[in-house]
Amino acid sequence: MAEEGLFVLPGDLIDPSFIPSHPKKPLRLGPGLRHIPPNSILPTVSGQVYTDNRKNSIWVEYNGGRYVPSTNDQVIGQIQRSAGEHYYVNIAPYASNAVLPHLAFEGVTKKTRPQLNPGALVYARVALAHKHMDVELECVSPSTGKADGLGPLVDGMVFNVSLGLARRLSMSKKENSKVIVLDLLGDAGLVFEVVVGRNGRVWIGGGSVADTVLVGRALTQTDEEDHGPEAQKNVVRRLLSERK
Amino acid sequence: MEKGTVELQVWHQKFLRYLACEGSPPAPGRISSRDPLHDKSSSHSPSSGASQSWFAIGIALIFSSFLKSPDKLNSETQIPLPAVNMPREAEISTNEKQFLKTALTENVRIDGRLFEQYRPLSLGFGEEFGVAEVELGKTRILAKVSAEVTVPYADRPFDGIFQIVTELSPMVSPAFEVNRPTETEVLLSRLLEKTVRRSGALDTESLCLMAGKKCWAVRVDVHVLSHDGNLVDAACVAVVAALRHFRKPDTSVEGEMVTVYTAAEREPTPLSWLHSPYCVTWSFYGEEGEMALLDASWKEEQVQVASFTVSLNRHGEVCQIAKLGGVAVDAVLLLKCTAGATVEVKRISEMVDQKLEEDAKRRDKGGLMAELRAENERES
Amino acid sequence: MTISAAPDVVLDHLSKADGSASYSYAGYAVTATVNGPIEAQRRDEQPFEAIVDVIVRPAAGVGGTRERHLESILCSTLRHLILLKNFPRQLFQIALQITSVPENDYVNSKLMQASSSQNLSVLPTLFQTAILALVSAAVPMKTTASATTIAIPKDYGSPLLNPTPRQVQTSSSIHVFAFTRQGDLLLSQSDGSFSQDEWDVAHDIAKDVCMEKKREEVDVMLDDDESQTQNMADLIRAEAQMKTDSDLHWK
Repeated sequence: MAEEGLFVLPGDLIDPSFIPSHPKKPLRLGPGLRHIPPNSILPTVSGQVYTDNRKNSIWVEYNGGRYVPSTNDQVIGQIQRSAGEHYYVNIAPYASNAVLPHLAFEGVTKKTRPQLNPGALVYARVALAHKHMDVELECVSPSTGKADGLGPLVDGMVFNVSLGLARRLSMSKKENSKVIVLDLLGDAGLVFEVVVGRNGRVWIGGGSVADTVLVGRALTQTDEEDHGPEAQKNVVRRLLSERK
Repeated sequence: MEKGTVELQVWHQKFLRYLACEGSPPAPGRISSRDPLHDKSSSHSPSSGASQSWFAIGIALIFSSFLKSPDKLNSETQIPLPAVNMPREAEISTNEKQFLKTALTENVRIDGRLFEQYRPLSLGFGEEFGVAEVELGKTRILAKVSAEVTVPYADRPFDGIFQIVTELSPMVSPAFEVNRPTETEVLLSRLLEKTVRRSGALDTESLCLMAGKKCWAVRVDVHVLSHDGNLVDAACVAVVAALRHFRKPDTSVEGEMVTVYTAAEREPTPLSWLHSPYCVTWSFYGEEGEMALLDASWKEEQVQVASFTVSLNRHGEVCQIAKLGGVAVDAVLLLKCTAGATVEVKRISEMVDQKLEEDAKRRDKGGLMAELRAENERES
Repeated sequence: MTISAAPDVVLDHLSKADGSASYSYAGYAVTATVNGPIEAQRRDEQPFEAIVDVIVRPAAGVGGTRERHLESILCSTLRHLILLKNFPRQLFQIALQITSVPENDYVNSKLMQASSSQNLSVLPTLFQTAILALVSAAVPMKTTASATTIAIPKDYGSPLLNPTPRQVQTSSSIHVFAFTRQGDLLLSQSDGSFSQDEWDVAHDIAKDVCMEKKREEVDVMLDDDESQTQNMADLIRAEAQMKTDSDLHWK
């Protein structure tokens, strides 16, 4: 039973031998699991179970559903309104607004803070995600005081992708994610910038309009049709041939 | 409200100008070189002889339909906005709006389509009669037809009752609330009403069983399952296909007695169908609405400056034209859009006919239906 | 009237919603979308848990008392499955559209006709579709569950699983049960006159259909015979696994 990527439904029993047991580190439960004291660990979504013995963690890998904020996620938000000392920011359609303090940008004072109108986009980090509190965002690292690429997004276009693809795009190890469209398009000489929000929004900009659209289409097609590396090559080849 | 009236006057002036200079080819004037229709084959160019007469007819049709019902048009712009206390409808960001507009000036649509290109349209039927599901890109609509015997309206004793009901449920978006119609919904149901019901597509007299006493009430329920733009065109295909697919129970009348036969007793019969109208919607972009896009997606609809729905059948007979609000659009462009629509409608029409035929073949294994039908006819 | 033997499931086919499912079985067909957790209206929100909003829409005609009745049954049942405490002040919205009900070829039905037995027989399909849509929306749940209808014929014949409308008409009572995959009773609705023994029989049959079998039992059953009825829990597992496999093809 103990194998990586075992399929589980909510409420399935996970074999205790499969749960990593590190002598010192506490067990870390990732998404899709809950702990019922004293010692039951049950999945809450349908997906595949994975473990990391080095980090002593276990989680359920799944795709789909709605973005639920989690601390340290980087997301693309849309300003809804400004009131008092905060911007109210939408990070998923129909969800409650998150709060972004006016002063949570790099090197700003009350006078120099960015003026963002409703409808503007920001790239922000989730600073606080607690179920009983409003979600809080920030566009500056609290430790270094640097923006680290966070802040308002100017021009460009947003494409909606599944949460799974957003996660794969933001993986540090490229070879694990099996998303190669962006690299292929870059190799083909297209100029573009990509900002990936874990809430399923991908901002593409910096290049010509036609190229931006092409990159966006390549991404959405890869996402919707579950393309593997080979199929991604085909998509890119086809799209590039359309390009004049 | 006032906007509607003003626009109507602008319209009339434009048409009068065109009627006046009918003989000479209209100058392309405001139509930019990016206009997709302008680049099309010469048969659509305003200077060719054949389309000249077509233009005259088009103008006359549009003109008369507008003259006849200016009050109707005004009333349609008068829909009150619902009170907003539901979850906010998702809105697209300023960046996206700006990008969509810029892209169009560079001749690019975000899904890579050409300006006058429809999304893939597919049609399927359910197990029972009178259910049609239409998919247009990611827009999905289901239409279901039902019929029951009832008493006709007192002022129309020889007509049956025919109703099209549309309701956008929370299924489409959490921003829709049950029993609180939004503007989208009201416009959708009015356009379907004008296209299908008022154009006489269904012969309502054939629904009469006994004058003033008994008639069929046919009802179409339009269920929007997913909204990714251009609900009107997709819903119209679903309604027409479902009605043509529908079979109502067979009946016989003897003196004062109406007998309704169950499906087990007698094969149900199709409705008396006269013609199949389809809607084609264009949306306009740019300062003066000089760019026309066919079959806008939901995102594209969010930045349109005006939209224009024309309903016609495959013979090119115009049933309805609606341009509700928005900026005034050049008349020549509208005529071109109508011309483009005739081509599109032929294509849709062929698709629906073919699907209906395929479905009939699938159900009619070994020609049993034909035999039963003949039997029905002999008995009645 | 044809009744498709195998249930038909499509998952996640409506792109705008967080999760969606279409399910058809025994002549009934339902399409469902799930959105959540989303912002609840101020007047509805609960400070310590999420609220569940179920909307049932009939295939033809406007919804009425019958739909409200079904909604309240479904809502109170699904509340037990969703982990509501994880999402205070939020809302889960489940919209169910009935797209097809089996027709009785021997009776001309009125559009608005609503007898309680008809009410009940659509309930399992609604429930099943809701569960599939919740799985597709990755809504955190305690477990999955399934439901089924049993009719006890007037002539004391053997109980009928997934009865046709004609069988419903000629039965003395009908029962709807929902069980979790582990075999816990979630929902029991009965209509008509019946004895305790009859209810027990119906309960056992339904439990057998809805509860997941242990691996060993499945192997034995496969040898049994081909007319084996569809196990609902297996169906949900198979569909969810298929979706997961295609979602995680890159793993």
